[in-house]
Amino acid sequence: MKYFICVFLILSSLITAQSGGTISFPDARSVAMGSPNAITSTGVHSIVANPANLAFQKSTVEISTLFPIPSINAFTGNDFMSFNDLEYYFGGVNDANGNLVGRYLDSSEKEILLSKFGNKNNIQFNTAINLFSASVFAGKDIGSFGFSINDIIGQKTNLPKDLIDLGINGNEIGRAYSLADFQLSTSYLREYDFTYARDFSYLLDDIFKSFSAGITFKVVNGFAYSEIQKINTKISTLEDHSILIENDFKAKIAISPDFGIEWDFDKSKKKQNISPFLKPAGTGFGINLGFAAQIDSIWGLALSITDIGSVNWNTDPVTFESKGSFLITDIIDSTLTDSLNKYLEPTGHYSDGFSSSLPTALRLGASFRLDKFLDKGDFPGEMLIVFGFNQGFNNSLNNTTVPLFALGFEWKPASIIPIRSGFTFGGFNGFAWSFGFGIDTNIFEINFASADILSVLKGNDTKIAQFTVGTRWKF
Amino acid sequence: MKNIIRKKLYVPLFLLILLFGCISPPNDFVAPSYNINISFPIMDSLLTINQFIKDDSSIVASDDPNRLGVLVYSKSDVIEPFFVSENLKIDAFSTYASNSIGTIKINKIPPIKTIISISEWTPISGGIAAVFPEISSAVTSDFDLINEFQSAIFQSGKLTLTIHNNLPITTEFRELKIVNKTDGSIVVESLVNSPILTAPFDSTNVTFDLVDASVTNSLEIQGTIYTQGSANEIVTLPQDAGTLISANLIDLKIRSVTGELPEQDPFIVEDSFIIDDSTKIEYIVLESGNFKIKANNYSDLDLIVNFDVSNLFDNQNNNYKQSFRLSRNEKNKVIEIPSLQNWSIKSPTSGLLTNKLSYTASITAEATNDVRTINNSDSVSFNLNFSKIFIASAKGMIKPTTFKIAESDFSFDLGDLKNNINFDSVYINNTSLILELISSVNFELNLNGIITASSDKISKQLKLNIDVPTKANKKIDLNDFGFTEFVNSFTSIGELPYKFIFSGSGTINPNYTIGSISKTDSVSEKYFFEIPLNFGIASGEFKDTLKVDSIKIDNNTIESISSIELTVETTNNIPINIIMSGNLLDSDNNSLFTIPPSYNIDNQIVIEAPDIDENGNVVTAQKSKQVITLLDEDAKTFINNPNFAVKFSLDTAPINNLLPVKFRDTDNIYFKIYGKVNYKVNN
Repeated sequence: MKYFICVFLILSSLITAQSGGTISFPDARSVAMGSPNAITSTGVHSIVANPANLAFQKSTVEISTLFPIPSINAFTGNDFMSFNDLEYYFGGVNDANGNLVGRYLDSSEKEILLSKFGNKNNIQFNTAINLFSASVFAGKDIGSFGFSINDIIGQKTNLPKDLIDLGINGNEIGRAYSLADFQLSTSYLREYDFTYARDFSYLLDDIFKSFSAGITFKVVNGFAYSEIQKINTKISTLEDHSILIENDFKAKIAISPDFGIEWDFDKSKKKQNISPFLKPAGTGFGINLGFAAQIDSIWGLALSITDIGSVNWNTDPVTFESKGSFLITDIIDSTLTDSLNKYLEPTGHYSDGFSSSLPTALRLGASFRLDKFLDKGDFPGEMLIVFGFNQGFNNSLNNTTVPLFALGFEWKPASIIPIRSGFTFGGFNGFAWSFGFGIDTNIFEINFASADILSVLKGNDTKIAQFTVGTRWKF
Repeated sequence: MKNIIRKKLYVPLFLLILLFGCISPPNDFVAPSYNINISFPIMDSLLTINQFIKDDSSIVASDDPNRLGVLVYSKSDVIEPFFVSENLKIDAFSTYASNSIGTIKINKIPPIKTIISISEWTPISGGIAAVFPEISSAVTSDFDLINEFQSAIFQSGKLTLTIHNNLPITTEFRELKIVNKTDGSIVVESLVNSPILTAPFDSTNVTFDLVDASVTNSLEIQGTIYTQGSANEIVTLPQDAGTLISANLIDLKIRSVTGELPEQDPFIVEDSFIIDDSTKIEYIVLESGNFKIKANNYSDLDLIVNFDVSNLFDNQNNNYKQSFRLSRNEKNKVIEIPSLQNWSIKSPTSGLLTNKLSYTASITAEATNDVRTINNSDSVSFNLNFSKIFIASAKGMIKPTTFKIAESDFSFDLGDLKNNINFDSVYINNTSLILELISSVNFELNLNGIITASSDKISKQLKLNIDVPTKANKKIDLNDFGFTEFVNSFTSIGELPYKFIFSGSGTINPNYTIGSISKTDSVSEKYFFEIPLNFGIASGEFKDTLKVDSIKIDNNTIESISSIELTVETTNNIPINIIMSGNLLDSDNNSLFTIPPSYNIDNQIVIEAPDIDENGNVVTAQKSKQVITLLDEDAKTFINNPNFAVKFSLDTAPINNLLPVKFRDTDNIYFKIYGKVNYKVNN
């Protein structure tokens, strides 16, 4: 099981690890420094983070493929229960016969368990896989070109505390349990990115040592999307012991026809046709804009706005909704089940298309070459200090409007082994200490990172598990 | 520098190992277990009596202003009607009549003659003139043969002799006899010393009575002719001198006769006989039956019979007449009317009643071509036989006719109630049983009915005597015969009559008056049975077994249950105090434990009766609340076994008082039942 979890974590994508915005592909270097992507992304990694950086690509050609190790961001975690808690509450105990049985929780232990939950209890699972990317530096006058294909899968669940309380303590007379914070969102996108960047230093040569701009056009295919659009459901146990269920629920779903999903309201037969290239349920377009400047050999600046655009889900989109209230006064009423179904069970129907926003975000970054600043000649290796600010503009599945501040560094005691770390404030997880390292040869680079090394150091006390690995070939 | 780098390489390697080895999730996920309390409503219902009776059309709310809204067990149905049909009948009857021929008619007999010439008794011949001497001489002479019969016995009659003296002297016929030549028997004779004198050339008539005289067709005259002569005077004798004797049979009343006979005059057989001593009719139309005439001919003659039953009419309304032939000496000739359907018997005089049937048979004997012997006592007889006759309709004065009322029963469908309910006493107010009699009979009726009511243990009878006018539609309230008391005579001893049988007999036209009736006439009966639910019950007890349709709960969940707390809140608007207790039963109906269990404060569930006024109406509803606790295994057993033996103790308010209370369709009990179950999640 442990190995499964490890593999699961590796395969899980990182969205929150990027700490605010973008459906980018894995960039372990940036993650290790706290995700100031606008300033830290380079080469093929800049296609989705700041296309302007592609203009400063040092090698002529960069390629990232599934070989030898695919570039993956993976994240899973929650904000209420650590692995130790999982072990305690779900690891079971041995009974007198040595059989593994569930741990019995007395009243005080139930209260402790309940206290671990906040108002919103988030469970998140994300994976981003770079299937292929390539960039070509065609010369300072011509510019750079980039292309990448990325799959982004995300799932986010919020469990209202009332729901947990109801499950642990049962229904309390006179109390209402609200499910309004319940959230269950899923997304599976594939983006095709086309980037062009060029050095425009000549435009601002009075200000910057170098200056570049870049733009990425995205073609997005959506294979699956689900979102609870509205849930205002409340379960109340009234003083007279009757149970009032008030329900107002609406969810929208779009699924690639190739999954062959059959809905209960549609009697037509659907055929499953799973392949690497599924028929999209939604399509969209997006743009990344970026600017990067080098003031001198020490300071650098960057700005990008990523994922401007949306996905239109218009292939057989489905809406499930239910609205009504029902007062249960008699559980032995033979019509109860029918009545509950009538008033509470969501009914589905094909609907007009809908759109989902891409995780648009503003990214600012600044870099500082400490080793050059000190200029003592005895500083062991290179030291880059970076600052980043990310501001998401929506709370879509892979985004947050909570701003993120990052301060990180990359130390290269030897050019082949960069060591990176950083601190982030805000974003999805609040404060985090990121860490990573890489092996950088002249033609191949591999980087590892964790966005929250504290969670790693905490061992089973952590609530999240995240890892990023990225590789690229440089020619 | 290389060392530094080498040392620094350990750092990422260590971290790499840390990254993969730091997390140790559970090898197996096993959800924790804990106890949880779930509160849930079980029942929140206003149970009105109307809900229980809505499918039972026999219990309705009364619209009688005097008891508006009070529930009434109402049942009405038709009692098997009585049809007059075969009860209207005349028993078989017969009559016998005969008559003799009486008068025998023979063809008119011409006078028979004989001549005694002079030469037969004198030495003188005719055609001469001579002195006729005194002379006396016996003479015998045969008459002409009688053709009209060979022999006969005349009951009476006359034989007239005309003696013509064709002589010129006076003659005397002395000791004259007329005898049957065949046997010499004397038919008639003259008196001794009474000679018959006949002057010369004159005639003398002598008449003899024929009384019981046997006469053959061959007669002879005997006697002595005497004459004093011509006193010595010469007299001239005619050529045919002699004595001419002529005999004439007249005024004959024949006792018997042998010979060829002419057609006889008709003779009549007639009779009148009583159909029924007590029934007098203007008419009756017959539904069925048959009629036979058996005729016997006790004569040697062939007879033609013309039979006429004067007040019997066939199905074409023609007076019944029948002609038939009876051969000589024919016996037991049968004339049959196999079906008298739609025949009728009518009074000969419209408007007058009769109980007689009259017939006439006119009988004519045919002339014979051969010799027959008949007596005037020869006769013809008739037997008339009517079978039992069923009457289709009749008008007149029908004798009081008793009929039996077929048993009709009606029952309360008490279902299991009769087995399950016990009570010390019940008093029911104003029970009503109305009989509606609809008679199409144009006679009065008298019904001697019996209502036999039965409970499981006893039966009792209520006798009714009901007069029903002609063509009546009459409603009879059996409370006039004490029906309410009759019912309460059961309920007061704890019995509930649920089966009623109506039987008895009736009499048509008990006062023997004139009317009319038809076989299709009937007396149909309906009953309207009403028991207002206005009663008092003391120490009633109702037992039953119930199966509760519980929620489907899987066995694991049941095993997880630690306790169940059921709260029963009631607001009673039904004027009855209900105490419930019972036992939980296993699948073999073995008692598992009492409900409520013994460790509960109360061992029964009490739904207190509301306050009522003196008229038995609910004034104020009564609220009750009770908690039933089931612990540990009892809770699990409770869920696992949905069968209950329940005992309801019932007392109308006020308790121990048989004051009748009124039950209305709007009476109700509000039940609020809720529960709290404590069970172990993920047991």
